[in-house]
Amino acid sequence: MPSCEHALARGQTGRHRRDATAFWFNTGALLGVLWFAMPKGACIVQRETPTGAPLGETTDDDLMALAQAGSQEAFGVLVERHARRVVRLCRRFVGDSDLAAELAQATWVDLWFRRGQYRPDGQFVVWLITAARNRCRNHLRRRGVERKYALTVVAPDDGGSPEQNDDPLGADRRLRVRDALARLPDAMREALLLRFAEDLRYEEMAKIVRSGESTLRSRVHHGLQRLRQLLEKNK
Amino acid sequence: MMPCPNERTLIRLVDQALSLDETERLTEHVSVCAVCRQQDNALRTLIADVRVDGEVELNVEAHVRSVVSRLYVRDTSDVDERVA
Repeated sequence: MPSCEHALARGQTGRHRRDATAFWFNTGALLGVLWFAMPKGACIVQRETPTGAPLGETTDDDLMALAQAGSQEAFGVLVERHARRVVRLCRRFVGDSDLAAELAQATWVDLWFRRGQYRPDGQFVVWLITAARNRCRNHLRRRGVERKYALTVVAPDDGGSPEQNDDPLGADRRLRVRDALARLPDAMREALLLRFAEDLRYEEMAKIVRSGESTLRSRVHHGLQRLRQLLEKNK
Repeated sequence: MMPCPNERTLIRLVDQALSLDETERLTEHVSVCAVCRQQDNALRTLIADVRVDGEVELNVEAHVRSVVSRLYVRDTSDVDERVA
């Protein structure tokens, strides 16, 4: 009978609705329990962006956007990408590899908690280097070190290049260059290192050092001349 | 052939700080002038040495792990204190 079938159908639909409601209620409750049970330090491993792009191929700005949304995974990729650069920069300031690694880590932690301040303008490296530079300078200031850029002559076994054994002449030449660099005025040495070791453009250097581009260009060019003179003298 | 440029000009050449025209003219000169070519090579080697100076050996994976672990606890303790 149509009326009975209709009633039956209505009954089944109602039961299905109740079942569906119960299912979603239980699922929600389960997810809620899991959320509260999950250690808040746990890292949800996700090596992809929400759009499915691998994090490793994502730009710094996009990774920062994800970090700003709370993704520690994305931030971890940024750390991985620039880790050596930051440690190297810090070591140029403090001259000690372990301390440099400590300062680099402190820089990253600081950036994580200030990530909301970053504006995606394609200048992540400038932001990063500025933070690392400030961190190192503050450290040196607290320690009473006057030099802004305390590059020291690092012994070959302390983070020296692995190619030193393969190319003794080149290694010797680089040691002399390092020695000559250490004799340059701080501002000149910093300009040279930012330009060539960090591979920055003058426009980027100007933002980090807060000096004019022409001043920095002049420091780099005079610095190269001075380096050559020092190397000639010590031949 | 144009006269040999001075050292400052060669430095500006290797630092890519010259105009396109000047760069073309000087590059052509350097390619045919043995003295300038030697100077140019010496400058490029010097820059390469500055570039490789201070390469660090770092266990990147451990470094990243250490940073990420500190993000949870907001470990902002001063480096000076921890190093001491």
